[in-house]
Amino acid sequence: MTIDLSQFYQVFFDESSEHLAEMERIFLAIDPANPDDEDLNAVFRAAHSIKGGAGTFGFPDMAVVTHTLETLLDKVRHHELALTPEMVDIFLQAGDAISMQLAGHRDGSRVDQQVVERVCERLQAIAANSTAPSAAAPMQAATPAPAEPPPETSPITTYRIVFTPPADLYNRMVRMEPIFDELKTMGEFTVTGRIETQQEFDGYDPTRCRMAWEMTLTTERTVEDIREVFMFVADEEELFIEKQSPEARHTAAPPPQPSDSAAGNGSVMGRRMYDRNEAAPGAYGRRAGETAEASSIRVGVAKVDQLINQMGELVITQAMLAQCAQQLDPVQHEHLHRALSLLERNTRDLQESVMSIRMMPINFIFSRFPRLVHDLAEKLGKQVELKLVGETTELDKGLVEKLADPLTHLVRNSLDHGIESPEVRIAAGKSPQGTITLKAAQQGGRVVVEVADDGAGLNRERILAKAAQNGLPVSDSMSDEEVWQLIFAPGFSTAEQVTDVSGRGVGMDVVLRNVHAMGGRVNLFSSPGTGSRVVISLPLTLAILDGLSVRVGSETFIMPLNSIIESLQPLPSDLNEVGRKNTTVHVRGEYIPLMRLDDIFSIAGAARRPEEAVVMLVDAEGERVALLVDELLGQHQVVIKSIETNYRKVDGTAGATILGNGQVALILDAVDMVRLWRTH
Amino acid sequence: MEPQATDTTGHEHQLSGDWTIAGVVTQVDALSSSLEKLSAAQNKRLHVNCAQIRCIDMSGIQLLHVWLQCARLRGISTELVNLPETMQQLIQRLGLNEAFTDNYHDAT
Repeated sequence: MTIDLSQFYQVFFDESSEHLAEMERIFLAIDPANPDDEDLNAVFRAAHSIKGGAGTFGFPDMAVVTHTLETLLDKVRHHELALTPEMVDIFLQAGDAISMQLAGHRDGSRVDQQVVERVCERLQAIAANSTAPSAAAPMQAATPAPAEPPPETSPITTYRIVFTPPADLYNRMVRMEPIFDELKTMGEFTVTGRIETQQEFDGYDPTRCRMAWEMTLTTERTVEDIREVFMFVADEEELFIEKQSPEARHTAAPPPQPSDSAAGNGSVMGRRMYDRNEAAPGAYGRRAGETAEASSIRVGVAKVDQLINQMGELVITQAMLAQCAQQLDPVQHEHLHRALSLLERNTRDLQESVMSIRMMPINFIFSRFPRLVHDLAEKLGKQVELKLVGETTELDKGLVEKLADPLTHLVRNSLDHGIESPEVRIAAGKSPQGTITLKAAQQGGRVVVEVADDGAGLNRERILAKAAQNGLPVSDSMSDEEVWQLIFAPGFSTAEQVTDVSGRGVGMDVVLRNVHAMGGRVNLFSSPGTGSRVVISLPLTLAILDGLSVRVGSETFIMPLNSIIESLQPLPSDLNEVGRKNTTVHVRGEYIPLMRLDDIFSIAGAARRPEEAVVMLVDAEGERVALLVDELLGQHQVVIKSIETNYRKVDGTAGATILGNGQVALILDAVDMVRLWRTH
Repeated sequence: MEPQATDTTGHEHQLSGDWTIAGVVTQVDALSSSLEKLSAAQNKRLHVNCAQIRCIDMSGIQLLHVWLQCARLRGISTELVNLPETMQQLIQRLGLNEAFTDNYHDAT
């Protein structure tokens, strides 16, 4: 006869993952010699929240580990135990063990009990070695065990406790029985519940709590200890605790009255005492300075994707209407035109809002690297500082998730092969500590992510030798850029390069393939002795873009607006023939190569004389090229549809779209077109 | 098929179904109409059989208490019988024995 809590598991899993990530972030940044009190309180709260959730949702294994961790963290935050770097390491390991248990419950993955036990032993060893009396919780406990006795023996005191819960207690799925059970373990405990008297049954709302409890507890524990038991359920003003002399029992305090104070409050399951005031610093685990705007709701990705798809269809419908309206007289149908222009604006606003739902900060991936770098640097005996730049840069959620593996591989590579050992660095006149920089920034319609290190850089001779050995076509006359591209070739990795750090069977070819699959590009820059830089450029979003429709022959193409620099109609004197096939356009002192779309896509009937057509100057990631088109048709918002899903990848394009007249148009990819044109 | 939430037969009133926060709202209407019927009935002593209560939590206990209280205000004397073990434990763990003394003899 219990509530089916499984419907709330996902919320617990998500919240716990966030708490674990927050704990890890703080531990990695903390200075053990001089820890910040706010940080210590934050990690304690995180551990406490996980423990409470684990107990509530019936994951006693997690509750036991987190309880042991929480006990120690409580001592540390009360300055009863000095924090040391070793303790931080063990706390990080404890976080890993809890993560493993969490994954076990969530995904059914294997939990290595030996690792969990080892972590618990280490935590208990710290507790035993601390100056305070024994701290560790019994390992066999099936529910959150009672907190440890306070460091100094307190006199036995009888407390009168009155808990008047808010009306939304039931909707928050709070159960009082475990609270009372925990209090029972603290001493001699009695509880009496009261239910508000009701005259009428009609219209009675059974979901609102109309109970209150009065308790007595005779214990050595302090008021703070008692308050902590209620941390998950009670706000400050809902809990009344007073010390009682034996003769004063049952006389002093107000009788408990069920409260209706929180009537109508929307609430979140499992909200804690410190979370009740959403705007308060620290509410919902926010750190000081963070505001209530950070609060959020969880929505399934499928729902968001469905919303985006429907939004895409709406954009197409709006384009269709706009196209139909073009044939109508603007004076006669003034109202219709005005309404359609309003529709266009509203559709655009709505589209931007909807798209922003899927955008998430790249810090979602970046945040995992401090730990990775910390652990690997220690393992490799290297000193490495990780710098994160532009963590708030936003990227489509789908891309963020797919970017994680390539970035991890690149950071591992930088650590293993790029950054030298302290001795080598000192010998080379560098600081013993190397630097890896992870940088993200939005550039036009793309997001550029960089992994840079100040290590030894790529070794040209070694790469050439290995490439030759692997049967790749190489020559000494190859430019540096061409040589660096060799490491992206499949099978380039050799046994000599493979270590347990970066040689995990995923080569740079896989990085390249993954990035290409996201519609991205990879560039590599390296300089001997000063380091390497890998630059990944990705589309900002995968769904909708602003484009210019152009006609070539009878075909219509879309060129993304952010790639277009300008359009012009050249004079015959601006055109220069280079060789038999190539033409350049002279624009303000610059000679720009002319690409003919009809040649690239074999289109018949297109204009051949540039002076009779339109030249569109486009930016192909820093390179300017001129694109010859017959006519500029108009600016549109287009919904990107994947061609690969239904057909195959079409070179030189980034997908297709459906125009207002129902016609399908290819969306051009400037960089890929330049590549295609060069090979043509 | 989900059993009826309440069902009065002679001197016995049967409670059943989900009495947790997920189900209490659906119990209210049936309880309300049964309260009207009971008020009109001659018999003012009633056994409330809890054997068919599938699951119950604090909100269900509260609802039951309020219903029993309203019945009493209408002159109906009720006695809870056949409480599932978990329901008995819940009443005890929540410190509500006293609240049910009039209706449940094992409460004290």
